Amino acid sequence: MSTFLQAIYEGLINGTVYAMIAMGIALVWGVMGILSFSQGEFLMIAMFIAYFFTTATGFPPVLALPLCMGVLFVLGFCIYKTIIYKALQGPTLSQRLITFALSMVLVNGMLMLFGGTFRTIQNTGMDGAFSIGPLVIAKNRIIPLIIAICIFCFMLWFLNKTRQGKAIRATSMDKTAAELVGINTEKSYSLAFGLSAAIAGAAGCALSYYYYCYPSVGGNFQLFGFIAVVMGGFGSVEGAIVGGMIMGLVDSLTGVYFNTAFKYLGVCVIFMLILQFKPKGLFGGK
Amino acid sequence: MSEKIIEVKHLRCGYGYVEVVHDVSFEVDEGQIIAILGSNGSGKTSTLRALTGTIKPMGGEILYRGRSIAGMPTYKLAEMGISMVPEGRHLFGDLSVQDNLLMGAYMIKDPAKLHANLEEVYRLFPRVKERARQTARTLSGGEQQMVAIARGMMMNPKVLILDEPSLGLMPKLVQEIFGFIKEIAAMGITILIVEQNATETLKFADYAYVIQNGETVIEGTGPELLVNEDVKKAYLGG
Repeated sequence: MSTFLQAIYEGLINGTVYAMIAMGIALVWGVMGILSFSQGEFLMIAMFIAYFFTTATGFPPVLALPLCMGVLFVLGFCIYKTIIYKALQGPTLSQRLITFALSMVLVNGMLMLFGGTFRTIQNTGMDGAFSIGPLVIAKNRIIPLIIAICIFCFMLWFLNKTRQGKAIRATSMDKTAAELVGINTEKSYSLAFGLSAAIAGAAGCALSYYYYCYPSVGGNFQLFGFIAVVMGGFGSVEGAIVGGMIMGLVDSLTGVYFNTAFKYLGVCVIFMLILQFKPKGLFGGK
Repeated sequence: MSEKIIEVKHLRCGYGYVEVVHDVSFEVDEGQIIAILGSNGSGKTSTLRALTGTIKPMGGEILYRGRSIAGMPTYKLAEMGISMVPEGRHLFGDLSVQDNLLMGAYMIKDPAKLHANLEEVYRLFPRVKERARQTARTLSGGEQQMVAIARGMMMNPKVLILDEPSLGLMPKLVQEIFGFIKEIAAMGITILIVEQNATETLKFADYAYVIQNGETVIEGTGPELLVNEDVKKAYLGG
C-alpha cells in the first residue's frame, strides 16, 4: 500500500513537468495550429540556465526562475517573429516540421557548446527527506511542486481573467472573429508562443532540482507532453494539465510495478486505449 | 449632402496573381444605408475583404474619412469604428451568447460603458437576450445572425458592414433581419450591406451599386434600381 501511495505521489510530481510541457504545446496548437516539437528543448535550455546560475552564484535554482522564464519568453517571442511567422505563410507540411528542425538545431547546438556531459546541481539547499505517514517526501521535490502549482494557477488566471488572455483564447477559437472585434491576432500569436516557451522554462527550472541536465534531456518530456495534449483533447490547456498528470502516474506506476524500461509501453497503450474510447481526448468531446 | 465616410476608388484586388476585382468604385455617405449587389463570383466579397484588411489591394484607393486604409489590419479598422458582420457569422461557437457579445466589446475598457452597450443591444434584440446563457453554436441560423449583428454593435461602430446577412435564412427571418438593419440605421449608424437578395435590399437601401465581373456597372438609388431594366434582367428575375 505504501509503495502504491509513494508511486502515486512520485507520479504526480513527474506529472507536473509533463503538464507544463503539454500546456505549452496545447497553447501553441490552439492559437496558431503549429505543433511545437521544441518545448522539450526550451525546457533543456532553462535547465542549463538554472545550472549555470546556481553553480556561479551558489543560490538555489528557484531564484533563477524569473531568469529562466524571462530568457525563454524572449527566445520564444523571437523564434515566433522569425521562423514561425514565415512558416505560417508556407504550406502545412513546413508548418508541421519547422519546430522539429528547430529542436534539432537547439539540441545539437547545445551539444556543440557544452558537450554531452550530465550535469547535476549539487547545492539545491534542499537535501534529505522527511515522511508524512507512509509517504517519503524528498525535500528537493517540494519547490518544483510549488513552482508547478504557481504556473498552473497563473496560466488559468491569465487565460480566463485578463484582457490579453481573453484575446488569446478568442484568437484560438476563431481568428477572423477575433480580428473583427478588434483583437490584434498577430500579438496573440507572438505572446502565446513566448508564453509557451516561458512555461517550458519554468518546467526546466523546476526539473533542475532533481534531474540531470544534458542537451537531449528534453526528448522524453516532449514525447510525454505530446501524448498528454492528445489525451486532454488537443488545444485545451486545462486538458493538457490533467493529461500531463495522467502521464506522470502511468510513468511512475509502470516503473514501480513492471520496469522503468516499460514506461513507454504503458504510456502508449493507455494513449491508444483513450483514443479508442474517447477519440477526441478526455476533454475534447462535444 | 452629408460627409463621405468610406470612398473606394478604382479598386483592384485578388488572390496571388489572379485579379478578381478590376475596377470597383463606390462611396458611402454618413448615416445612409449603402448596398452592394452582385451575383456569386461577381467580386463583392473580395471587395469587402480588401476593405476590411483581409487581402491587400493591388491598386486603387480605399479611404475612410479621407484617409487611406488600404492594407490596414482588421483590428485597427475596428479601433477606428468599422465593424463587420462576416458572412458565415463567425461566432465564438463554444461561448455563451452573452460572452460572444462581451467579446464584441473587447475594445471597450470602461465597465459602465460596456454594461450600457449590452443593455442597448438587448433592447434592440430581445430574442438575443432570451438566449443570453445558451451556447452560441446551438442557436438556429437566424438567431446566430442576430447574435453576429448584435456582437458587431457592441463596439459602438460608426460603420456597420454586413456581408450577406440573409444568406441561408428563410424569407420570414430575412424580413426580420432587414428590419433590425433599418433600426440600426435609424440610430445614426452608417450601413454598408453586401447582398445577393437584390429585391429586398433595394427596398430599404438609400443608394446601391451593382458589381459584375469585378466592376461596378450600375449605380443609383434603391427605387431607381428596382425599376432599372438591366438590374431587373440580371437580379430580379426578369
